[in-house]
Amino acid sequence: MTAGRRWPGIVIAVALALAPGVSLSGENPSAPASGAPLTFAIVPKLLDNPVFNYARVGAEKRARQIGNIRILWRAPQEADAAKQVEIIESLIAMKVDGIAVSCNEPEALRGVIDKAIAAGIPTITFDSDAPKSRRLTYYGVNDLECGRLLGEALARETKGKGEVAMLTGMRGAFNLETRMEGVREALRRHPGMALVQTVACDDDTAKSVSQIEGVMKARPALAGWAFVGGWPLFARGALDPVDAKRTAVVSWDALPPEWPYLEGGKVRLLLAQRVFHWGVESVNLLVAAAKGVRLPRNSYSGVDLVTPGNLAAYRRMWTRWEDPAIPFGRDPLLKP
Amino acid sequence: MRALRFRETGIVVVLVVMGAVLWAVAPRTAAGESTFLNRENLMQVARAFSFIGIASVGATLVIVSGGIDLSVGSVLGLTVVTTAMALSAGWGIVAASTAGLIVSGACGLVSGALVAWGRLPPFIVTLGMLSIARGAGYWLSGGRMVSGLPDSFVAFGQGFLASVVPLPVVVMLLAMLAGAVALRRTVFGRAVHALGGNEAAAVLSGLPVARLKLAVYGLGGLFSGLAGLIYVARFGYGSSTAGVGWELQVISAVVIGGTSLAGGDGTVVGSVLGAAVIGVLTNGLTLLSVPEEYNQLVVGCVIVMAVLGDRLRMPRSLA
Repeated sequence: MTAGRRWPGIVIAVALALAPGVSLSGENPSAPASGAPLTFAIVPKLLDNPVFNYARVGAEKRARQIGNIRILWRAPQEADAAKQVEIIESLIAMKVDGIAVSCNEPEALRGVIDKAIAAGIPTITFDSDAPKSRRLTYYGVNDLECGRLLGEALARETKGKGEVAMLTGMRGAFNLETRMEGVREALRRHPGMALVQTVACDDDTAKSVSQIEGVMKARPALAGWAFVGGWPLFARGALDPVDAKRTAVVSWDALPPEWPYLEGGKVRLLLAQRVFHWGVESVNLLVAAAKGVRLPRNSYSGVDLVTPGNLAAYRRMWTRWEDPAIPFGRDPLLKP
Repeated sequence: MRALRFRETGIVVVLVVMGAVLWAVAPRTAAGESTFLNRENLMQVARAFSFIGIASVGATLVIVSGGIDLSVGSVLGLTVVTTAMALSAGWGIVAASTAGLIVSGACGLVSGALVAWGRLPPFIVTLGMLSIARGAGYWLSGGRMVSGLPDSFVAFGQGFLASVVPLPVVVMLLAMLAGAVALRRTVFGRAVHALGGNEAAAVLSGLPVARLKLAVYGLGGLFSGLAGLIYVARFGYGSSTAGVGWELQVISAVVIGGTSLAGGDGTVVGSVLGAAVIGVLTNGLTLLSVPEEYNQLVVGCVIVMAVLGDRLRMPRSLA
């Protein structure tokens, strides 16, 4: 091929090669104008995790409730700290009125968060913090504390005795590692318990299901499981190899696909993060920051502890959160 | 023919050796039975790698033709979203499955067309399709998980033939059979081999090279789509995150199975056995409670060793 004929190929090839770097975005048109609308950018870890979709619903609904707020939803397709940094840099250039970010890696995001603050843009973190950065506040669970809660719940369910296993997702993910540390701390307080195996499913539901199969094969007398994320429970039948009477299962996250496991008695407890409120509180906190309110160092959300006993109440709360007509109000944390 | 059989023997030996090692070292039940070498575990392992196995059938066709398809996982994900959303919207099982297959086949045909007539390198085209299909799945699903699918569909994915063989495994075996017959016993299959072996010669001998390429990528997409259908049936939910990164496992399975990445040489049975090697390996790591820090290292090393061991048995004049 002559050089002239090679050109279109090169252009297309380069465009296709760059395609992975392009992120999708979503915009929420602002409500009735009364002054310039505030534009808040929310940057979850990635687009490809359904849990953040609830945050988006929450943010957009809260924005509509307040009025005159525009939400930009920006994230890399897959979990990529470097791409998140790029996205935030372009948001700084766009001079948005506030940024809320769930960090793929705390250290990787620290620089760009500080840059946003220096540029005068109120910036907060949610779900996954960058504690050493100059972010105004963090909204979400205290992963260490909640990890301990999960571990304690497992200890209660197993009456403090027996061998247990733990499931995590993406290896090395900061918030997951912290949760696991909390679980281990709690289990250490119960000398009758031993954490005998930890498996990492790389956030892949299919992999987590076959890992559970394998572990139950090797350890049929396992007393309990702690999942620091709900990946296997998004699928149906994931706990078929588990004898619910013998093996107590407790898990992080209480998304709707997981509820049947509570109903069926296969799971004893779901530790529910306030996923809608990642979006709701991001909006609230950024509005407060825009008004010059000083935000606390951390705004811990706490968790709802969902059991078969209070699932009906949780379900009602969830329905209210999802209903576009019902505004967000104060919802006290659910206790078992 | 003899040479091809010899190649599969190599990978069977690898599998048997792995099986023997695991039978020896995997934990035993109180009754002394091996936790690895028992029917239930082996069936679970087969069911777990059935997605990779099914997708590897299509991938073998593509790679033997001299191409590569990096979009396997994303096309699977898009099929999962399409099928799950159709089912959840009340479509019948056949209609929803057909929609999923059409979408996956279309992705394959687009890639194939760009390779065949656009003359673009398969690596770049399918890398782009990897993003396009994944993004399309996200856009279609709105980032939501789709659950609440009909029990009848899930019953298929979680069901068994004669109460023993999981239905996904049956589908994998049927797919393997279809692919093997196509590649070994049909004119099409011979043409694919010829194309991969020497494209210039294939063109000169009058083979419809462009249409062949279109066909193999289309089939590659279809098999990824079939794997996606089985995914939805097995897990009873759909999400745009399904199959992320699986193209690497599929390509590993094909390479372990003895297919040359240069093209012209390979078997479908070998690829499915390659998927089995990866499946048995990950099962072994779980049964042996190998600490997570070592898992990726071990998988990588075993893959390299399996391919090396296999290549040493078959000296080749071409790379």
